Amino acid sequence: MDSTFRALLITFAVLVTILTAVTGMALKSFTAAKDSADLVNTSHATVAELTAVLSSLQSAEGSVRSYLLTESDEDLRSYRNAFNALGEHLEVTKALMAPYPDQQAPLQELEAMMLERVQLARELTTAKRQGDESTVEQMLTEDAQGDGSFAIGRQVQRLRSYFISELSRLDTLAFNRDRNARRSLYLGSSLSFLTIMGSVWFIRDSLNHRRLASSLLEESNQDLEAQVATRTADLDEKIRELSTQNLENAWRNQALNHQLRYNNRIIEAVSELVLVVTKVGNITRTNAAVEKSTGFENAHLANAPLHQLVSAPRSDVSADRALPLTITNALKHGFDLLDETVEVTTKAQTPLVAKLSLFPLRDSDQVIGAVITLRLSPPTSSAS
Amino acid sequence: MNPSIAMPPHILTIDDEECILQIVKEYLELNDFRVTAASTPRAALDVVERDPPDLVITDLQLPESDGLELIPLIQQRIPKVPIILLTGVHFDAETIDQNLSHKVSDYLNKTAPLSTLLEKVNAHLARA
Repeated sequence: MDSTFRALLITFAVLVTILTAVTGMALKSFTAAKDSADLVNTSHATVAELTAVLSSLQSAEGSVRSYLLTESDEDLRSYRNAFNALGEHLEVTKALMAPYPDQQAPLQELEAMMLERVQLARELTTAKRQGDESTVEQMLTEDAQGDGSFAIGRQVQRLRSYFISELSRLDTLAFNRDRNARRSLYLGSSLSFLTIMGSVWFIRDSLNHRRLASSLLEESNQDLEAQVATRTADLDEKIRELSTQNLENAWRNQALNHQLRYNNRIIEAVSELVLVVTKVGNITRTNAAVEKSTGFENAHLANAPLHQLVSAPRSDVSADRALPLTITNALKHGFDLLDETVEVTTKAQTPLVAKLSLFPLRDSDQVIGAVITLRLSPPTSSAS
Repeated sequence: MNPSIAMPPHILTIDDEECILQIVKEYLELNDFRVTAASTPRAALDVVERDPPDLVITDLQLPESDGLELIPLIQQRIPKVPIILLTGVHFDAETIDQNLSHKVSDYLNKTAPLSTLLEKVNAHLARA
């Protein structure tokens, strides 16, 4: 796997882990804050209800005392209303304190004390309605000597203190939680930043290496292209040279052919019989005058022995034809012959007398053949 | 744009032998000339009228008329065009002086190498 890609993958994984952890902590903090807020609200409500309970009790007892003095129906209604409100506040307080099991016992004590006070108020009003003033006076005296109202006030105050301290604890808890959440957030952000920076540094390093490699590759390519261009140019030049050389060769060949044709025309233009023979005396070439004078076609004479065309002069026609010894020696040793009298055979079997000249052909001092010219003698009077 | 780069010198080569025409054409084109080949005097004069060459290379022996008869006809149409005569016949110096030197810019035997022809072409084009 490519190292840069691997680094990016690791960075991504680290960032996802950090973000997941931070998000988890934030969610937890949020949930805890919500729960804490509920508890705070409950505590405030409980404190308010406890205050209301105490207030309702005091109001109810005040109304009882007024009724005992005035026996007014209005005071009686006020007393009943106050006790009804007290009952409601007490029920609400019980409901609010339900989540606090350790506070149930003090609450029950408070409720019992409240019931005692309600019972006392009920007995006082009953005695008053019956006109039993002595009982009323006795119950009031006993109550004044007792500690009922103050005990309720202290109990309510204890419970309020508990919830106030609970509020303080929740506040501290919320502060610590917020602080921890902030720290976690800062830590997560810092780690993310450091991870990103590290990744950027690593990638930058990798990118620099890649850039360097790319640069080297480009230089290498340029060198290669330059080399290819040079080689191509060299190749083009070689092809050009070869083409030039080929054309020069073709030109030289045509010049040679031209020269050959020109030379042939010169030879063909000669009226004397011209033959080219090998060293052993075989005819390789003849000019047009040979065919014209002897009647033999050039193709017939090609590779034929010279003595079929040229022989020593004979007195007896039936005798065998043979080359004069001088011609054989001249071919063998390579010397010139001039105006050697010979007899030329014709297709019509009418021998012709001619003067033969022989010029050896040499190649590097080696005799390879000879050029022979035959100058026909004019017909003699005896022959005519 | 430099016109000499866009338009290489135009050379008219005249010969009745197709192989010679082809060799000369290819050789000169290989050396960055624009070459038109003509195998008859009439075709050569058509080229002269249609696309006047910067230099003419002609054979001495041509069908219909020989190269020496064609040269004045070309010179009538393009008076200062350099003409190089190619010949397969050997001439002696006196014959050249008397019969050819005043009619053509230069002459060359066909047995001479092609590089000699190129040298003469470059020399005459540089002079023109």
